[in-house]
Amino acid sequence: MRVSFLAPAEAIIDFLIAGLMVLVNLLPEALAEPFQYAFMQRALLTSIVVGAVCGLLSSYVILKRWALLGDAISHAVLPGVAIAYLLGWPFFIGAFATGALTSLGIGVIERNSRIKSDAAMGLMFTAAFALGVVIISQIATSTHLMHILFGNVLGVRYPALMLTLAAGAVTLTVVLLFYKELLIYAFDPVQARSLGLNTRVIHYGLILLLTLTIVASLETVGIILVVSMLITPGATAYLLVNRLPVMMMLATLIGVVSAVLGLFLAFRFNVASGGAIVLVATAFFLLAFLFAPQRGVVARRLRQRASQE
Amino acid sequence: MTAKTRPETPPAIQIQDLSVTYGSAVALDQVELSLPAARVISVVGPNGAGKSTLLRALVGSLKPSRGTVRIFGEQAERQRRRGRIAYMPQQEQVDWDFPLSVRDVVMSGRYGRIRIEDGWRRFLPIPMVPDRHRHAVDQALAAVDLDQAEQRSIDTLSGGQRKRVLLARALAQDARLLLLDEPLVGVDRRSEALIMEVLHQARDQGRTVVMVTHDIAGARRDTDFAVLINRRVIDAGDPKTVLTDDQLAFTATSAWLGEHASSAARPEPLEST
Repeated sequence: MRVSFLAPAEAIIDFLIAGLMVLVNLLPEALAEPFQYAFMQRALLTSIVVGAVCGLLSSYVILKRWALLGDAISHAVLPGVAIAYLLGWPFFIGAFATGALTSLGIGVIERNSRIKSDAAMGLMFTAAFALGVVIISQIATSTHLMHILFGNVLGVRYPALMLTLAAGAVTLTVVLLFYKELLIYAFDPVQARSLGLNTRVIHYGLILLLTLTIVASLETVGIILVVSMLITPGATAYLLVNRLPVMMMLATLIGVVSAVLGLFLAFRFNVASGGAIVLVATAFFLLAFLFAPQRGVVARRLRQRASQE
Repeated sequence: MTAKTRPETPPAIQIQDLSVTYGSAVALDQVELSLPAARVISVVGPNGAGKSTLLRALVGSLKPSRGTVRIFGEQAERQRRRGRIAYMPQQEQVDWDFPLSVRDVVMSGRYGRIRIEDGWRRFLPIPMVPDRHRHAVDQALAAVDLDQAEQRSIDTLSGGQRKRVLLARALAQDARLLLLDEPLVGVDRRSEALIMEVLHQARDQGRTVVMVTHDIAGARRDTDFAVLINRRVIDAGDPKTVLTDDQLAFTATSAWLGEHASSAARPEPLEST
């Protein structure tokens, strides 16, 4: 049963990897060489999908000012993963349950006390995270914990890769089909209500997509560093362009390039893949921060100087 | 004045026993109101009188603690789903650093129509939606004199232009009811005259316009119907009889007394020039 269910999915993955390898083999020998290993090929596909989906969603995270919320959800996912592991459920179900519970809990604290949202978030997500650490310390080795926290893209196997692909496909489809609704909701939620849109459904739908993406990124960058991939590509693109569709495409591209380049560097210099990916993304941000054509620090200094003379 | 010549038209908005509370603060208290269709209606009252709250209750973005709202004889939510209600927020409510062009914002006014009218094509990307939506956007942009600026990104606009973009978005929606939150605050004379002209045109096409305003003289001069509120409805009807200096002074005093019940000093009346 299990084999017959997995076989077509594995065939799809093998097909995608074969396609990728055609492209990789066009690269110079030195760049293509690490990807001769099967585990590097799986890691490459995972990184591309994770980079793309995180990059795509990071535009909304930036525009909705959800950076802290993304941080909160990613930490809150940990106990869900642990409980799902205990009960033999798919990771995603547990992760979404605790992710959603935490974001509901944040709302409950905000509405029923004088605690403001930043403290409510910090309080809830660290508590959920602590619960996750306690449960995991009971059921698994510290290596497992390290892999969940910081990712281990070089060890990605077919089931995890399939989850990542499925999460990517779902997110991409939803964002494409409901681009208009998401735009109105992000730009002016009150107008969204005037059109009879259910803003609560859109809100939690977006949180669901974030959770899905975070779970899908577990193996690649881990739940701590995924926050960076949900913020940095969008922030970089936000400094460079002025149109939402372009920003979303550019953020996706930056996510993919960061993930692939980070993976390559991690292999080359034998360092942690999650960290390498995030550092590359941050390097792109710094470049944009300094040298963006209109909003970069250098361009602004030059303009100031020009106006003074 | 047209306000009294068509009594047979059913009311655009019928509000019964509407109360809205924020925590323990009462923003609107048992509001009873019937607003006529095809008029420009001004909503006037002191700060904190619940003017924006009233609009938001009509828009559906906040939940009343009690009461009902019917719009064109139907449940408000049904009218919303049918794209009949357009909304223009206060300028500060919107993030002007959002990466959109003038045209993008106005096009977002069509999204409701696209959802309702275009079947499966509602899922298509914006460049692929049917042409009539683009025409509607062109018209709305021309109406507010922004057709030359349609490709500019919204962070480069002046205050008056920002108001006009939001107004164009509401116009593009082709709604029967326009709810405008302070459309005239912070705009120059030219923009103000243009906005009022556009609103009068909308009325003459049979639309109902409800606008929150602080400009009493303008409300007396340019609107067909006025609502004076201070958590409750003080008076509603012909602006010339509702917005008298006596009534405004009374409203200001009662608002002021509500906040400073123990103090003895006299408040300033509402600005009436």
